[in-house]
Amino acid sequence: MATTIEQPVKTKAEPELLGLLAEFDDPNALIEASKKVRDAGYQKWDTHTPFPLHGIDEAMGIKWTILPWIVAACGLTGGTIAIGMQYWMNAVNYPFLISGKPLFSIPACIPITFELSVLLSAFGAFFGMLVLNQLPKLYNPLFKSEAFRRATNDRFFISMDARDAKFSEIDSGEFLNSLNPVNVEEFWSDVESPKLPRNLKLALSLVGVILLMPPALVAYKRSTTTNSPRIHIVPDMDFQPKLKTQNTTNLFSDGREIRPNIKGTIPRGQFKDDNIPLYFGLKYLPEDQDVVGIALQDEKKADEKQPAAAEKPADPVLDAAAIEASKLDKLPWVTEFPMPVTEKMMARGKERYRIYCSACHGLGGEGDGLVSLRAMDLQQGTWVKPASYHTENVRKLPVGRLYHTITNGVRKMPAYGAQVPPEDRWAIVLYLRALQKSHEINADTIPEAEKRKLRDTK
Amino acid sequence: MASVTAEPIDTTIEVPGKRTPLVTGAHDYGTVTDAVCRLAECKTPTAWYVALGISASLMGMLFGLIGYLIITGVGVWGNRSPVFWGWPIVNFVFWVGIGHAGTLISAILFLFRQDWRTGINRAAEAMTIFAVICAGVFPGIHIGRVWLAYWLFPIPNQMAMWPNFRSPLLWDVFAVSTYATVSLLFWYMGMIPDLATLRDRATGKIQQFAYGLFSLGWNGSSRHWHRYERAYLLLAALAAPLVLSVHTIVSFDFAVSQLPGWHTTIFPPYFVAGAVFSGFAMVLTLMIPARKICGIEDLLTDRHLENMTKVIIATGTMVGYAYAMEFFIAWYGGNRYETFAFINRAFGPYAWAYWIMVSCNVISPQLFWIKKIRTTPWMIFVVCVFVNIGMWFERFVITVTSLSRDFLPSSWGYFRPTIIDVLMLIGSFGLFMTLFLLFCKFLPMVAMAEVKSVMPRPGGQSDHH
Amino acid sequence: MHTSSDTKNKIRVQTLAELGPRPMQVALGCAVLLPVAFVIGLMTENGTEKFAFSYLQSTFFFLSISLGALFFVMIQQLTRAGWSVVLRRLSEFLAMGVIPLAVLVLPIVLLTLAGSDVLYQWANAKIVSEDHLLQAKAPYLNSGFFAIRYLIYFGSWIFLARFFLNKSVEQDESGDPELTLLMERRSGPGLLLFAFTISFAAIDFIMSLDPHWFSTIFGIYYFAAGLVGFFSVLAISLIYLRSRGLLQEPVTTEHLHDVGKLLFAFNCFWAYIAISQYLLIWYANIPEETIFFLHRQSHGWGVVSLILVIGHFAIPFVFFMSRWMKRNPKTLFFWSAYLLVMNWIDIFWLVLPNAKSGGETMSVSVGMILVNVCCTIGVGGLYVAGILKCAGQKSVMPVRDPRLEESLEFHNI
Repeated sequence: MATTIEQPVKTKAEPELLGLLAEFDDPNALIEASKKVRDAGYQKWDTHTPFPLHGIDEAMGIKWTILPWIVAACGLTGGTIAIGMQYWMNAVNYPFLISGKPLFSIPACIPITFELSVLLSAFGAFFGMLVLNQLPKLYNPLFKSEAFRRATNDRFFISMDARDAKFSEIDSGEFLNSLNPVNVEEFWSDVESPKLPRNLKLALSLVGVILLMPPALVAYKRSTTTNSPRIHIVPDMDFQPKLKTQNTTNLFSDGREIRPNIKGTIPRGQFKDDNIPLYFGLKYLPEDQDVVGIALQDEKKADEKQPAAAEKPADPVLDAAAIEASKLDKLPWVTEFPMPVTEKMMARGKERYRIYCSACHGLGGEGDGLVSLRAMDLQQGTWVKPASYHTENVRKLPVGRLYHTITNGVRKMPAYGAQVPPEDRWAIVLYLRALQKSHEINADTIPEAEKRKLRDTK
Repeated sequence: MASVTAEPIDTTIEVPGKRTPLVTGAHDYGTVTDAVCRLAECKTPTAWYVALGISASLMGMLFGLIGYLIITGVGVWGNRSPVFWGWPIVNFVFWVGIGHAGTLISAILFLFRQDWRTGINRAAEAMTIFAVICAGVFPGIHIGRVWLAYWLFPIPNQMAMWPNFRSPLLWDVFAVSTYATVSLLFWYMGMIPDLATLRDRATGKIQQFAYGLFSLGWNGSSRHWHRYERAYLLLAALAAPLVLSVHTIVSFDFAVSQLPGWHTTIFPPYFVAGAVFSGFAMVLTLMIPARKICGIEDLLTDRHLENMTKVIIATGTMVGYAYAMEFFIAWYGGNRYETFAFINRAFGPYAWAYWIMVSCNVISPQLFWIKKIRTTPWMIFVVCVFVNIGMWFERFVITVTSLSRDFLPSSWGYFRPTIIDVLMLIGSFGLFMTLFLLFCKFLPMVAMAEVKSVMPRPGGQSDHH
Repeated sequence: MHTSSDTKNKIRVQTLAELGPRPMQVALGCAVLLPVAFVIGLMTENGTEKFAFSYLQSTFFFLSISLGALFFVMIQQLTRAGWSVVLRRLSEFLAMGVIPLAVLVLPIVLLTLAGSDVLYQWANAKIVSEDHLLQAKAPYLNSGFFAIRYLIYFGSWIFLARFFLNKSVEQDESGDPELTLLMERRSGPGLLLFAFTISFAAIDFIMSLDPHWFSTIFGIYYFAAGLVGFFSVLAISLIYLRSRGLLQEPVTTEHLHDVGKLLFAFNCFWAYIAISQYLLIWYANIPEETIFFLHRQSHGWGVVSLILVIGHFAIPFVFFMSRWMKRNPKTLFFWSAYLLVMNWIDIFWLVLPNAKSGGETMSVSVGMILVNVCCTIGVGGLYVAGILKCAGQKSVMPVRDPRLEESLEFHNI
C-alpha cells in the first residue's frame, strides 16, 4: 500500500525525518537483510559495520570503484613529473658535470622516478578514497543516535534515506521490521544547524593569528631595509679562528697572516717567463717592473723594491696616477694577439665578456652596464663611469695594453687577473676589438642582406 | 569491562588442516573493542608515567645535544679524516632499517594473506614512522648547516641552484621522505575506523572532539568500506615495492662508490633483508613487554611471536648468506683491495665489531630453530635484543671499517666516537620510546577492525581464507 | 572449517597417464632436434662453440624452472600454505626435472674434466699458466673441484625433490598429517641448502664462463630468473591440463589468478635484481665489472639487452598488471608463454655472449639462434619425458593433504 503521507508545511523550526535505522547483532543477518532491501528496489540506503564485511558488496549490489584508475593516473603523473624535473633541472636549467656522469641518463633517473610515482599514487589512493567517500564529513545526523555508536564496535546497521523514491515512513518501517532487526529507529534533522563551541572558535582564531605571524614578519623584513648588521646565529662559523690575507698575527715574525712565496720557488701554474707576450701583453719585460704590477718571481728583487713601494703613499694620489699612466704609455705593448685568433676564441670572448665585463661596461661596451646605470641613479658621489670603448683614446690602445688593464685593473676597475685565465683575457680583448669595429663601420661596406637583417632587428 | 575467560590453548601447535585461531579466549567483537580501548580509556598505570619520564628526558637530552651541535659544529662528533661518515650515518641506517618491519607487515604480509599480521600491524606501523623520524634526524644534522637543509629538495632558492639528481644521497632524500609520507598515510588510513570506535566510546568532551576530528566522520558505511578496502589494497601494493626501494637506495649510498667493501652488487637485497631482520627484532623487543602490560595477550598470541621469530631466522640467514657471498667474491674477484678490505674487517683493528656482528646477526637467530626458544617470550626477547645490537654493529662495520682504510696507507685511521656520539644514540632511543609510549596511550594499539574481520563469525564462518 | 559435499566431489584421483601416450611421444620426438642442432652447428662457423654454449644455455634454462619449482614446493610447506595445495603436486613433478637434467649436464662436466676450454677457459692448463688472475682463482676454479661440486649440487637437489614428492605421495595413501609436519620441518634446512647450491651452481656454470668477471648478486639473479620460468610453466601446464580434463574442478580461476600474481610479482623481482646489478656496475664504472655489460652491448647483443629491458619488464609490467589479464585463462596463457620466452632470452643473454670467435665476442646470428632453439627443444623433449616418467601413475593432486579442502574453497579477496 503506497499511500503518501500528508507532508506538513515546512517551517524552519520543524525537524525533518531523514530516514530509518535498523540495528542487527549478527553480520550474517545483516547480509540476508541487505539482499532483501536490494531486491525491494531501494536505491538510497546503506549498511554500517564495524569491519569490512565480506559478501556485503554483492548483497548490496555495490559497483566496483574507479579508485584503481585514479591511482594509475596519479602514478603516471608522478613519473612524468619526476623525469621532466630531473631533465630540466640537471640538463637544461642548471647543467653541472659531476664525476663524469652524463647530465641526464635513464639509469640515474630510475630511483627518483620510482619514488615520485609511488608517492603520487599513494596520494591518489588515500585522497581519492576520501573524496569518493565524501569524507571528511564531521557532521552526520546518524551520530545523534545512541545505538549507532555501536556501529563501530559490535553492531550492524541498515540506514535508509528518506529521499529514496520508494521511501515512506510507514511502509519502509514495516519492511525493515520484517527483516528481524534488534531495533528500528528514526533519525531526524536538527532544528538548528550545529555550531562550533565558542572557546574552540577563539582558540582556532588565535592559532590562525599565530600562524600568520612568521610569514608577516618575513614579508615585512623583505620589504624594508635596515642599518643594523645581521644577527650572527652561529658565531663560531661566522668568525672562524683562521688566518686571512690582510690581517696581522703574532704567529709569524713578519706579523703578516698572508705568507710570501718561499724563496727560489714558483707557485704551481705561475711560471710565466717562457711566454712574456701571452702573460703580460708586453714584447719583453721592462726594467721597472713595478709599474706593470708584475708578480715578481724573484724574491730578491721584490725585497729591494719594497722600500720604494713604501715611499709611494707620500706622493699625492693624483700625481701618482698620472705618473703611472705616463709610465705605462711608454711600455713595449704587443700590438698583435700572441695566440691564434679563431672563431672559437671569439665566441669564448663574447661569453666571458658578458659574464665579467658587461655588468659595468654594458653589452655594447658603451659604459652603460646595469651596475653603472644603478650607481648613477643612486647618485653615488664616488662612482666613476666606466670607460666607453668607442672613444678615440681607447681605440688607439694596443691589445697588450687592454690585456694589461683587464689583468691589473685601472682607476676604479678592479683587477681580473685572479679570476680570468690569460687565454680568456685575450679572448675578451678580441671581442672588445670586435665591438669597437662594429661601432665605426662604414655603412656602404655592409651587404644589402645584412642591412635588411639589421633593420628588421630594430 | 567484560572479563574474558576460556580454556587456554597452545597456539603454537598447528594441526594440519585445522587453523589455529588468531584470537584466543572467548572473545566476541565487543570484548575485542574493550580490550584494545582499555589503555586509552582507563586510568593510566604509573609505570607508563615513569617510562615516559625517562624517555622524554632522554629525548630532551637529544634535542639539547642537537642544539649544541648546531651552535658548535659537527666537530663535536668523532668524525675525523678518513672516517667522515661516523655514527650519525650508522644511526641513520640503523633506524631506517628498524622502520622496515611495519610496512613489511602491513603491506607484504597483507598481500601474502598472512592474517596473523592483524595483531601486530598497527604497532609495527607506528614504530615504522617513529623509527623513520629518528632516522631523519641524523642526516639532517650531519649536513652541518641545518638551516640550509632545504637545499636537498628541488625548491627554488636564491642561489638559483638545483640539487644533483645523479647523487644517491639525493635519491635517499626522496626515498626516505616518500617512505615516511606513504607509511604515515597507510598508518593513518588503517586507523580511521578505529579512531571512530574511540570517538563513539569517548565520554570526555576533549576526547570526543579529538577522536571525532581525526576519524573524519567515519560511519562504517559499507559503500565506504568497499572503497576503503580497495584503497588499502592499492596502498599495500604500492608500499611493498616502496619498502624494498628504500633500503635499496640506502644501500646505493654505499654501493655506487668504488670503495672496497662498499661496492658490491648484492648490497640492495642484502640491505633489505637486514632491514626487515632488524625491524622484526625491534617489533618483538617492544611488543613482548607491551602485550603483557596492556593485557592484549589474547590478540597478540604466542603464535604471533613464533611467526615473527621465523621471519627473523629467514632474514637472519639471508644476511648470513650475504656475508658469506661477499667474502667469497672478495676472494674470487681477485681484487687485492677488496680482499684486504674483508680480511681487515674480520681480523683487523675492528675485528671485535665484526665478530659481535656475526655472532649477534647470524648465530643468535639460529637459536630460533629450537621450538622451546621460539615459544618462550623472554628468550625471544633476549635474542631480539642481541639482534638489535648486531644490526647496529653491521652498519658500523660497513661504514667505519671501509672508510678507515683508504687506498693510501698514510691516510689510514682509527675511528673513536666522542661522548656526544654515544649520548645522541641513546637520545634517539628516548625520542623513539617517547613517541611509542604516547602512541600506546592515546591511539588504538591493535587494528580492531582488522582483528574482527579475521575472527570467526557467529555463524561459524571466517571472512578470510 | 566445515566441508560441503560439493567440495568433497572435487577430490578425484587423476594421473598424467590419462593424457595418453601422446605427450611422451611428442617429447621424445622433440629430442631428435638435439643431434639436428649439433649438425647445424657443425655446418656454420665456430660450430662447436655455438653448440656447446647453446647446450649449456638449454640445460640451465630448464634447470632454472625445476629449481624454481623446488623452491616453491619447499616454501609452501614451510609457510603451511593452504591455497596452493591443489597445484603443489604439479610443482613437485616439475622439481623432479633435476633428475634428467643431472644426466644432461654430465657431458659438460666430463668435457671440463677432459680439460677442454670450449666453455671454460680455466679448465685449460695452458691458459691458466698465462693468466695471473686464473692462477689466483685456481683453488676454486679447477675441473676436479668443479666435478665434486656438480655432484653436491645435483645430489642435494635430487634428494630434496625426491623427498618432497615421495612424502607427499605417501600421504596420498595414508592421509597422515604427521607427514605434513615432517615436510614443514625439513623444508627450512632444505631451503638453506637450496640457497647455497643454486647460488654456487650459477657462479660455477654460468658466471665462470667469463672467469675474470664477478658479481655477488649473480646467484640471486639466476634464482629470480628461475622463478619467472617456473611460474610461467606452472600456469601454462595448469591451463593445458585443465583443457584436457585434468584438475578441471579443483583448480579454479582463483588459483590461476594467484599464480598470475606470483608470476607478475617475481617478474618485478627479477627486474629489481637486474637493475640493482646494472645500476651499481654502471655507476661505479670499474672496467673489470663493466666488461660484462660491454660484451652485451656490442656485436648485436645490444638489441637483445633492449629486448630484455622492454620485453621482459616494461611491457608485461604495464599490460599484465590488471586483474582481468590474470583471471582469464587465455590471456594468462599468453602472458605465461610470453614470459617463458623472455626467460629463455634472459638465459641466452647470460650465456651466449661469452662465446668467442677469434678472441672477439661472437655476434648474434640467425645460425646461432637456430642452433640454440633446436638445442632447447631437443633438451626440452628429454626434460619433459623425464618428468613424465617420474610422474608415472602418481595423482596430479595431493588427494589426502589435510589442507586440501582449504585449497579447494580458496577465494581471493
